[in-house]
Amino acid sequence: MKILVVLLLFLSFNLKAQDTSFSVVPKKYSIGTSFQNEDIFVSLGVLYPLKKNFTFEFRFGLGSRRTFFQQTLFSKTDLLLHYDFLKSTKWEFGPSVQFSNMSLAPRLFQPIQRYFTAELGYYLAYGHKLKVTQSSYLGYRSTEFVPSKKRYWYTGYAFQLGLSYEL
Amino acid sequence: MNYKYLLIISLILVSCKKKENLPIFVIGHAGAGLEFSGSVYHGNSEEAMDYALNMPNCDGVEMDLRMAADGTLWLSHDQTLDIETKASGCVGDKLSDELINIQYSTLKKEKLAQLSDIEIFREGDQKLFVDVKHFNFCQNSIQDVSLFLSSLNSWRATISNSNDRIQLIISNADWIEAFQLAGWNVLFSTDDAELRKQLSFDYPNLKGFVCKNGECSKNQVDEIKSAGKAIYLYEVRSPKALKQVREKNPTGVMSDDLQGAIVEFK
Repeated sequence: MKILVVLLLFLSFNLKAQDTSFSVVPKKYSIGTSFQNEDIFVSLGVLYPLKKNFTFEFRFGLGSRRTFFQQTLFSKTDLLLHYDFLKSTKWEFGPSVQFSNMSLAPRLFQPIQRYFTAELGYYLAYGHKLKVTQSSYLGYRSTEFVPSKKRYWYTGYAFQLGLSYEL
Repeated sequence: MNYKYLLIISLILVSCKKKENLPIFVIGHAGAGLEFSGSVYHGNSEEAMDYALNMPNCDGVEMDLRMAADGTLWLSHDQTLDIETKASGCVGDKLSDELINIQYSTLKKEKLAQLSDIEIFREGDQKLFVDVKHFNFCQNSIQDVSLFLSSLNSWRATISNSNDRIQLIISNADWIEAFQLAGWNVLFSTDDAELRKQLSFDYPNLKGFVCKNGECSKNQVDEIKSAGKAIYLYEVRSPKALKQVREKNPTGVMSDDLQGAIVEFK
């Protein structure tokens, strides 16, 4: 439910407000695949350049095994912050931090498992307007079994491949 | 606007779900999965058992059991310790003191688990499937059945509702009688349909069979069930394999993708 609220808030932004000093218009769109402990997620995202080589990215994805092969909604929202340590006309590379929230809900709005992750890694992009991106993360995750509130902490990983397009 | 379409597609996908809940027991293979990339903990570790048994709608766990030289029982799948730990040799040749500090070579460094130390098995109503590994690879010999039985009997005394909950999986036909005489529920693990028929005839009290999903057809599953025996399928990892299990409708599935099996059948 929280994911949908966030998503609806995001959709409610005026995506055409280009003349304001602070614009919510993203500078890049991204599509990608994340291979990680829980599933293979397919995500769509938007990137906002911030000051001093920082870029903020928001992604929404679906777990392919559960959602597409088992018809069970497994959603994921990611908040990422990339820092372009090395930046040229073609290359971008630097550290990146990722916070994710995943929810497995066999019945709509009734999740049985939730996951939270906080991971550190790197972000690599190559290309001009259309960039190929690759990033990897390692960090802590927690699984919560919703009915019992039982929570487990463990190390997790994510290996991501994708494309981003600059407007 | 693409996100609106994505949301709509997601909702349609979910609303298309019309799965029938089948009365299939969902059992975690080696806890929460063996050799499965999605497993949070190493198979047969205490952490994996705890994780699996706390997962909503999990009916039980399967574990692999080996006996040490001093008769203590340890959860271990592989024939030698070299494969998954930094130790070498076989569980069957080691003493408890040597085994107690062995860790799996994983990020989480789970310890080799001793059966009697796993608290979560003691209470509750979830099923415990114990795969009795009778062979000592290092000695190329079969372990002492009397000592194995004696150790298992001692453990059984500490488990609530043990007769309803515990099932032993045996893969040495010579051991069936000894365990049945001691009052254990015995399943036999084999992919050989002819052997299953023979054992059903020789041991009418055999509770059932365990078989690889890929080696057991729907007809064979139906045949075993119609003979009044239970049939559990294992080596089930992918969504495709879970669909196959759904069609075969066995008594239970020992899945490496425990979460996937729960989503599929519960």
